[in-house]
Amino acid sequence: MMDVDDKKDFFICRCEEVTLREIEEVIDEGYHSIDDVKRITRAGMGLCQGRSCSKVIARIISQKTGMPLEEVLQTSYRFPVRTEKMRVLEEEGDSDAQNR
Amino acid sequence: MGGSYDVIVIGGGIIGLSCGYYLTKQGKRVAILEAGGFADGASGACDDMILFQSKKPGINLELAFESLELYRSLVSELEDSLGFATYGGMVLIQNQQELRVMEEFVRQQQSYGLDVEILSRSDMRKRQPFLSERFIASTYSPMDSQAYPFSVMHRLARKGRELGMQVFHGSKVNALDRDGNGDYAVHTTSGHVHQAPVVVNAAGAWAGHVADLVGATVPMEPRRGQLVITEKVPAVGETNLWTAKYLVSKLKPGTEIAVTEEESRLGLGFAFTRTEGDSYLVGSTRESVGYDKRTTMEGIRAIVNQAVSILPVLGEVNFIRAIAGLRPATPDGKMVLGEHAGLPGFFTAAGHEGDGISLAPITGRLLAQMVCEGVVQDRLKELSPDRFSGTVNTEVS
Amino acid sequence: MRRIGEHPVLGPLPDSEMVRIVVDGEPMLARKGEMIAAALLAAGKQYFRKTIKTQEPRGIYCGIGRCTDCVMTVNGIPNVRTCVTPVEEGMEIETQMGYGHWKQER
Repeated sequence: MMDVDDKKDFFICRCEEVTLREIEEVIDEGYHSIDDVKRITRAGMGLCQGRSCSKVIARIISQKTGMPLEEVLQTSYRFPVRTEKMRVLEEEGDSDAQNR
Repeated sequence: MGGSYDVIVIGGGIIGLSCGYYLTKQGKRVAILEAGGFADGASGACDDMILFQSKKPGINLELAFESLELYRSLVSELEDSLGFATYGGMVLIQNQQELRVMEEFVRQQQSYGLDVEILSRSDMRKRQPFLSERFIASTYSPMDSQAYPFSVMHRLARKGRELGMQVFHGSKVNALDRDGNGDYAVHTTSGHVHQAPVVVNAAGAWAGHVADLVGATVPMEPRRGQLVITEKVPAVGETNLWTAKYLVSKLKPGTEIAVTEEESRLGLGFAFTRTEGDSYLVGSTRESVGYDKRTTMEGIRAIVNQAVSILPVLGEVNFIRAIAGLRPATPDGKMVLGEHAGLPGFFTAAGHEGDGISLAPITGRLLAQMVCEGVVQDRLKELSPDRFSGTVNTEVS
Repeated sequence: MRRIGEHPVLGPLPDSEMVRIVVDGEPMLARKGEMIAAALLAAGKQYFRKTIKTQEPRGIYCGIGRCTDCVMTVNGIPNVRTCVTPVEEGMEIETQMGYGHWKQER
């Protein structure tokens, strides 16, 4: 099992390897939304697109700021709903961009 | 409730933050009022490019050179790499017609001091071995660079705040009055009223609405640009990439180019850049859909299919996110920068469309010079907001 | 980690056709149709990849195809989620360092 010497070095975002410390620093600077934290630390921008970390980040924000969890948990969901190979969208002869 | 400042900047995107930073450096007490959160506008949904090759020779190109130098200084001033990197860029050419137009364009750019050339097919393939066979040549400039917008903005805000600048999120401006002393009273939806003798309208796609609040005219149209982000992958070739087809239609409108209805409707152009996170940003569209910031299946499909046809290896790469930003477009394709006649102290710095990241530092610096020294360089007069007064229903190109 | 050979409720592990896969150049056998991650865990593989920033070893985390911790390079394609991808005869599986690589022959 992976133990860290300092709790703050624990990865909250595993995909982008963002630590608890980095996230707390950004919240301390005054950024109190999941999107703000994401854009500044890259937590939630990795391969799993925040599936593993965004709720944890919401909890950290809620704990540090006193904002209710429901309020913190608004962020935008965009497709792709999950990762897809780019060639999945190819259509035979249908998409004009492909034939140029 | 509210504060009293030397300058209030409306808009906390990269332009607003740059203006705020450079004004603060000159000793001004600045408040930035951002309607949303951090990087909520186009600055948070764009590519990262500081691009020379797409700029028409003239004021845009000139300012781009200066902005690049400012980025270098900002790396040390803001004590961060800012994701600043120079990978160079190539514009891909697929037929003789495009080649002729690009050769002429390259000559013009060279005369303005841009280091750029045309590469033969084999030289092109040395730098980009994964290209589709159909490209016959390309341009190449070693100067095309990039910066990571989120770092730039975060660090501008941080350093500015260390020097006394204030940044307010969730502060949408809904009224602008002038009081008896000629100061501006800026009202926000959160119920605050801030005061300053100088207001800078850096509201990007919403700059027209902000101008309306004070009776000024700034014709600004939102242009939606959709982009797709891939997973992290090893580098695909050396440089950033674009295609001539789109550039040619932009630089020489009216040129007979075979553009499909879909490409035309979406304003589809190819842009390909390696990000700070080692993934690729693939773009993009240029659509007139009002303030609709949604990504669409049609846009994503067109972007992805175009990319795979240009770099077939991308067929095996996962794309993980799609984003869309509303880029502010003016009728003449030039930014608005200057004080409004008849409204002393009211400045606009907006309308960069696809050049916001490139030109943010120079915009902030020049705006600060205008505000603090009351000086407008001659060459900047063509960017004045007064060029729009009296124009009604201008056709946006 | 070992496969459960005898489950107190479900009974003994049935026999299975085996397929031959190659892991970091070493051939091994896996049960036909099982997930790559299961085969690797049963063979005692310690980690599936090392991360980009800190070269931290990673293996299974969620196990349900959501977190992307378990990805490896499979048949020259990086970022394949091994917990939801079944083994196939002749599959080439490599421990992925950072973001991996792809075969240029494609």
